Amino acid sequence: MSPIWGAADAGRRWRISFPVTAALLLVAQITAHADPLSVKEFNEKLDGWKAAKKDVPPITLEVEGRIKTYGHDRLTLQNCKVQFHSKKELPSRTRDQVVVVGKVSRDVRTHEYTFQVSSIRFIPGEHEQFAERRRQLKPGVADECYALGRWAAVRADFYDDEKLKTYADEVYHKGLEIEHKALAKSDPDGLLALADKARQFRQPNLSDELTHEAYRLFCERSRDQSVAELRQLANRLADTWPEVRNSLDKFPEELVADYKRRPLDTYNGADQATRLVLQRWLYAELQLRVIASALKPDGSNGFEIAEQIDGIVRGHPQAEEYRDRALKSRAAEVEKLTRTQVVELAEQYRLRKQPRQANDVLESWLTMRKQALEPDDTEGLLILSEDYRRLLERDDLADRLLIDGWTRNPKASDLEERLEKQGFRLFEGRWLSPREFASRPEGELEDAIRKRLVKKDMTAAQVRRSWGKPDAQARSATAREVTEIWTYKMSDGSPRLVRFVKKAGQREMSVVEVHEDKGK
Amino acid sequence: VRIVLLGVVVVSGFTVWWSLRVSARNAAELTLTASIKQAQQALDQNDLSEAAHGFQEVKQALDILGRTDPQAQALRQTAAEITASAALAEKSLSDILHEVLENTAGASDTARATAAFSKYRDQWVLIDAQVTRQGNLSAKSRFEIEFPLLLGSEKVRIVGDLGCFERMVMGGSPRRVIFAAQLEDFTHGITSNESGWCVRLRPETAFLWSDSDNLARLGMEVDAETNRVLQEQSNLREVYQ
Repeated sequence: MSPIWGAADAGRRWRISFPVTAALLLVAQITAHADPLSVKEFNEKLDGWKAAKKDVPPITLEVEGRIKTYGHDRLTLQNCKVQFHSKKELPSRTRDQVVVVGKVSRDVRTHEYTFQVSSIRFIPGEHEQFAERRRQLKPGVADECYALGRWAAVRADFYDDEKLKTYADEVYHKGLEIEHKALAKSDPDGLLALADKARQFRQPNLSDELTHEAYRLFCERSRDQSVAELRQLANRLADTWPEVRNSLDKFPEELVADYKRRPLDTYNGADQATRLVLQRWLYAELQLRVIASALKPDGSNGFEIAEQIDGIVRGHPQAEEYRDRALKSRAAEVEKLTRTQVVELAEQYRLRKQPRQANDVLESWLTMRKQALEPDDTEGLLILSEDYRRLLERDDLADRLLIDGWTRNPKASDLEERLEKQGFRLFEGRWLSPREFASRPEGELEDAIRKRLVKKDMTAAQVRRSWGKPDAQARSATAREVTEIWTYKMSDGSPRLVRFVKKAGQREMSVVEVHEDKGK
Repeated sequence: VRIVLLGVVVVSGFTVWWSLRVSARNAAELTLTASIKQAQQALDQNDLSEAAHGFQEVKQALDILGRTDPQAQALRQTAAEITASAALAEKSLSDILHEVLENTAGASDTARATAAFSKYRDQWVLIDAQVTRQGNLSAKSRFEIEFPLLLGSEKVRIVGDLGCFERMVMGGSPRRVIFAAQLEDFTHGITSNESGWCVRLRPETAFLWSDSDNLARLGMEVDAETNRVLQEQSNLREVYQ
């Protein structure tokens, strides 16, 4: 290559180097130039100068803002406290957003500030700028999102621009999500810090979700913690969500079932009221574990524990379990209970819609009393049978008890009276229920009467109906029974004998033998 | 001297006897009231054994006191009825006879039957039956008690020449009598000059019943006719005692 260039070369070199130099200068100017002041920042500077009562420094300022009014030699910007004057005619308006370059002067007489415009340039509006900035965000960098969010939020507030606010929220949310994803899954403290940040970025919903996620993790991690630690966690949760201290009126069974299947989705998808229910439930679960730690090994204080649980959440299934355990514990010691206590215990079972357990405990208690009864204690037997009837509604057992008692002690007239009061009839030394008595083989006897026959088990009245009045009667009494013999004399002179017996306790005698003396 | 000594001994003996008698009578007076009360209480509680014991004491006290007034006779009657009630046979006559029959080989086995029956000897039985005075003076018993017991197909009679029937059963027509007597024996006619099996009652123990309450206590039904018979027997006792 030749060291000396010719004229043509020089012209060509100029044609190439000039645009490059101009471009470089332009770039240098742009990069060296700071961002223009927003109207808000400009207002703040003005306020500072006014407060200090100082002269405005002779520097060139760039102020960016939304055009409010635009004339040939002056303009105003939205929310700006000064007017912008130009000695030259301003260019035609092409956009609504403008950067004004110039200096601020102060009128010595009126102390008013005026911006002397040296040049202006039209730029895209904030919405377009936001879109461009968002496009340029680096993926996965939360701080850039927050910076853009702040840029948009400041302007949105200044201009009360709802759309811009939405944009700000959007990028804040994006930044928080980036951080959320980066957090370890088991870092509840990190989640709480992020929730705080979300609150600062005016993201209350997300902040609440992050807080919930953090406390859910805390609760999960608290499984093996001491009572003191559980109490501490419950207090911390209540400090965060003060309303959880109010009790739940009803245990949210379905909601809790959903929550247990998909905790985050259920919570995040819930409205505020439902979220509050879930927060209370989380708190209740912690409290419940604290309360349950006081449960005695035999469960005997289950009612007290359940009462405390009811104070936190009504109808919690665990409260019912504790009550069941308490009842079982008391039922296990049924022999030590008084009548009043056992009746109360049975009533509690019935209130809990457990009639079988109520009957079991009553029957156990009655059985123990029966076993403790002296064989000749007929008064105790009568009371016990009444208890079977009234408490257990088991007439069959009560009747059996009386009959067994009478069998052991047939002379017990009080047992006999009670059995008769219950409708029982003594038939051939055996107590028959009204149904049994009605279905005794009387039909057969009636048939025999129609046929003029006398059969075993017939009463005296039935024999009379069949054979009429006897020709002779004789009777004898021995220690255990009365025997009566009726004699009927047939037309041929042969006697027919009917022997009746009435054993002790029987009210009526009945036929035991019929004999026809064919020998005579 | 001997006469004087004899007189002293006689007077002394009489004095001792008299003192003992007065003492026994005084004790009997005291016993009588207490025993009546005690026996009545036992009766109210249906404790026949205790009541019988009490009435026996009453009877002894009456005997010591030598009382024969109607009240005393009524108490003696009650004592007899309650004593019999408390010592009634453990089983019915039919059951006793069937038990005896199981221990005999037949009509000829009288000795074994009698032996088997002996455990019931002296136990009481109360009978309400028609009684007929026998026209046949050669019969061993003057009265026939119509109580047709059966031992299988064989008829068993109750016999006993009971003195208590003497004034109750007059003439040849049957008369209803309610009486109690102790069982004495169970024999077969082959050896006892009676045909067939007989349950023999002890004559000296027999007495007519007179109290309806005492009868009802044994499980006997007491109707108007029974009351009439009892009243008649009671009257008879008062007249001839």
